[in-house]
Amino acid sequence: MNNRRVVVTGLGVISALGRNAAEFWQSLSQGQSGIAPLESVDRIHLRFQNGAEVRRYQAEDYFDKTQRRRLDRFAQFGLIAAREAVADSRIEWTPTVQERTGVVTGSGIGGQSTQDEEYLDLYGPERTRTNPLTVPRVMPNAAASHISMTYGLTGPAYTVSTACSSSNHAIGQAFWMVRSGLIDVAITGGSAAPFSFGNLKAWEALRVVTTDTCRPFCKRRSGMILGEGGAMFVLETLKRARTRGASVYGEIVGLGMSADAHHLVQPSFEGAARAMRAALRDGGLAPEAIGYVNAHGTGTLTNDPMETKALRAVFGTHAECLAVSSTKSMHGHALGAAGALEGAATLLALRHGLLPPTANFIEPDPACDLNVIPNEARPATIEAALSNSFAFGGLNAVLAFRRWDEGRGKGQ
Amino acid sequence: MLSVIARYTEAPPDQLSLDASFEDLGIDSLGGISIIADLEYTFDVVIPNEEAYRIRTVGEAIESLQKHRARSLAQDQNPDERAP
Repeated sequence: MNNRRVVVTGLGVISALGRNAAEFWQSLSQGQSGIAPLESVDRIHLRFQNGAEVRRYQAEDYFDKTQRRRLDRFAQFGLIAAREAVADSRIEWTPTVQERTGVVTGSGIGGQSTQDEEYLDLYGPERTRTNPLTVPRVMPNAAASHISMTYGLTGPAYTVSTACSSSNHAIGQAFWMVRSGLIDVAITGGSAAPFSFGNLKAWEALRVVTTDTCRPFCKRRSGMILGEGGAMFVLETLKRARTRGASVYGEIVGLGMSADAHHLVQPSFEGAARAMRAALRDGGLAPEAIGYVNAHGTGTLTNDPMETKALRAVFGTHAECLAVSSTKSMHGHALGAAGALEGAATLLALRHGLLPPTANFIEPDPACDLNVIPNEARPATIEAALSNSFAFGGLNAVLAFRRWDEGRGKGQ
Repeated sequence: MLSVIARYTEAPPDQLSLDASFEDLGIDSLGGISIIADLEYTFDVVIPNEEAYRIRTVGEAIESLQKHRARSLAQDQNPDERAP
């Protein structure tokens, strides 16, 4: 196989931590959490009160009336992030480039807000029909379709839906397509907008969302906090980026995937470990090359000890040197967008030489005895990092990133 | 209460032992939270997550339910004592 090196040349983020990548990084680097009492839904009938929302978001700041009618909130977030990433990459669209560009997005649940709103009255006596745009607003591939239409991109475009691993699977597929030569450029990432009342009640019933805040790896953790937003990357071959003089954020070097084949909601450390090992293998990385892991780190009672065990199984004694943090403690668990937000955090950490912390950390847990960067970012020049996503249903996807250092001529 | 739990097992309600664990009855964690949700709905109570996580047996489920049911009834009779 003709493996080509793949770099990130554009980045866009919208989340509880800000409306663009710069604001996202500023909050992460300062350990500021975006978790707060929910504003977009009536909390009175919810057992949990907190979430990581894009505060005071007004769709009209980004979209005209026609676009707003056609875009669910999750697709809006995807498109906003893609716009920033494309502008950031300074890529020039020619017919040849458009044909050689793919779009792969992750979405766990599609347009839940639209579904909630449209079906609510339908099930009561008030209405007998739904908005004709319900189907195209709800479909999980809506963000990918809108991105491809916005930029006239005619290469492969699709959406991956694997719950909390959706974005990592999506970014990994895009990475593999560029690496293999199937396409030259990709816009990839994910978006999610889970704050609709029906969806929140479903999460409440599953009993994994905490009434407190998200405290990954902490002895006093009691569950996850939902988040929303989107993050998109422009990927292209290193050769292409060099030729056009593009600025490089970092390199994607590996994707590892596995299935637990075990349980719908109880994760298995063997499955997580297999995915991490596969990512290392795919990236040609020794375990010792990894200096940082952006953990799945949901803050649930079950995930964090499982992930600790998996990291120890993969890294052995090197686990003692490994810096691990869960940025979900700040941007929440954005489900289908989680891997995209966390991939952005990982890339920016490598680029800035500063590892974002695990916020809201109070007390160490012997069952999660990792170096978890409690509460304050840590300066460190790291050569390579992993970003973990482990989904309900036991579907795991891990991405491996490598630092880019233009000054040292890295990657010549 | 037993008839609610029996919906998730092959055994009839009168054959459910209080000491039987959900695991003994072939009920996994998802079945467990479904039973607790069903009990909450049927008897109009709220069992907090941290307590729900600890329920492993038929007896523990019933004990938790009775405790919250009694609290709920007391609050209905003395609304001024309702927690904020």
